[in-house]
Amino acid sequence: MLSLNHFTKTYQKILFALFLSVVFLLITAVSRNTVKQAGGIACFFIAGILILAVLKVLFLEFVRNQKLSQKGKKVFELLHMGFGWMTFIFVIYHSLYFLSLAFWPENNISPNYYVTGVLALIPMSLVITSGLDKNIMAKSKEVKSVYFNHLIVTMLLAVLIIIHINFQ
Amino acid sequence: MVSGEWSLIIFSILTQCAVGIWVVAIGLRTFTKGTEPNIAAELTWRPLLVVGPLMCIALVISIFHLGSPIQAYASVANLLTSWLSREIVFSGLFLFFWVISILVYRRGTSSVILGWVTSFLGLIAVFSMASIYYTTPIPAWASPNTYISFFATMIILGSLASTMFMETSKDFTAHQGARTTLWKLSLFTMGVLLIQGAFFIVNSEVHSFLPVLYCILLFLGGINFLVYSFQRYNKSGNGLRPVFYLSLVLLFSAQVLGRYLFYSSAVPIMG
Repeated sequence: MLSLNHFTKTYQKILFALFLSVVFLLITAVSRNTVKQAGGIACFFIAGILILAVLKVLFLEFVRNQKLSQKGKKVFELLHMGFGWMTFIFVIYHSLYFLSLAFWPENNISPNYYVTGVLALIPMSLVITSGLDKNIMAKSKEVKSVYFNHLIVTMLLAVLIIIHINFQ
Repeated sequence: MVSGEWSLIIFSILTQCAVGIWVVAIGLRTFTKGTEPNIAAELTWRPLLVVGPLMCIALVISIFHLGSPIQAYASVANLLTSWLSREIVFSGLFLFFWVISILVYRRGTSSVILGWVTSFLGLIAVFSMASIYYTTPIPAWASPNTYISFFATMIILGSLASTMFMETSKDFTAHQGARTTLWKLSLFTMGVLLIQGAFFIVNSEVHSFLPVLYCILLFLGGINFLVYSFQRYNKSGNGLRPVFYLSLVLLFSAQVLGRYLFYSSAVPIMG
């Protein structure tokens, strides 16, 4: 049985998500509506991550039981990761679809839409690599946490996505 | 007013309340920093925490007003021309910066600049919200009263909700500095409330029951808040706490009623 635990390295996980996106694209290629809305659905997952972050902050603030707090934190992190991967799959799916359209003789898509889309993929990959970094939650002085880098590139990604949608 | 617009009333009130709480709490942290920095940080922590969930609820409710909720992401597609797009973007950015600010504050850093950047984003969100209505061809909305009303709601509900959450803190009554700040805050809120009431009377026809009720609720709520703060200023102890809760109910009801009257006043130029 295929198990995600086999993928221990970041590039393996990214390649697996890419593979899933291609399979998903091929299966749903008949329904153009699904393809067109993939980018929008990714936005909902990003909003979901933001709401999860709010809930996590509140949970950690109000739950005083150490054991329960650690368990809850793990659940939130798992959900965050799941939402993150779903976003990535939908983004790749969306990107591949529009890349295929670029070679179509007739399309009304603005070049700015492509440029901002490609640019947004850069912070997206940084968000994923920093998110998968083992030191993301490090609190010791010896190991530097990449948590705030993750937040900053996420902010950059959000701004680029907004600009990208505006060139639709 | 159609029933679907209740989501708009709740969304606008909750967003303004959330931004108001943040601005008031950051203001208190900034202006009392020199005298009692630790107490200010401790007292304002709970009000700051409430802002995120309020914004989440407001943003989720706002989706129900859209014709096609699944296309909600497209509402940010006209950033250069549409105030609605700006409102959604800045509300989202305000929430995102709330998360960052809370994470920074949890680590014991009291970054005033970050707090004010977040406040600034919230204020732009409220400004964009008011501008959506100001730029319509509806005479009742296209007046400065729209801006006054939205920002006044933000300050009034922000002051009240901040006070309510600060009340739950043990140290609240123990420090003369905190009580003096509360007294100043209530005076400021009363001033804003009077401006809101005056602009409402000038811009509306206050002859029917609901506008009169709105003015009464607003005035009585303000007086109650002032009495409570004055009593707190003079002595510590629980004293007139029910008076505060009464002012909270009166002023929240007044703001909801005021917003209902605002939306129901939408009569286009051509009738």
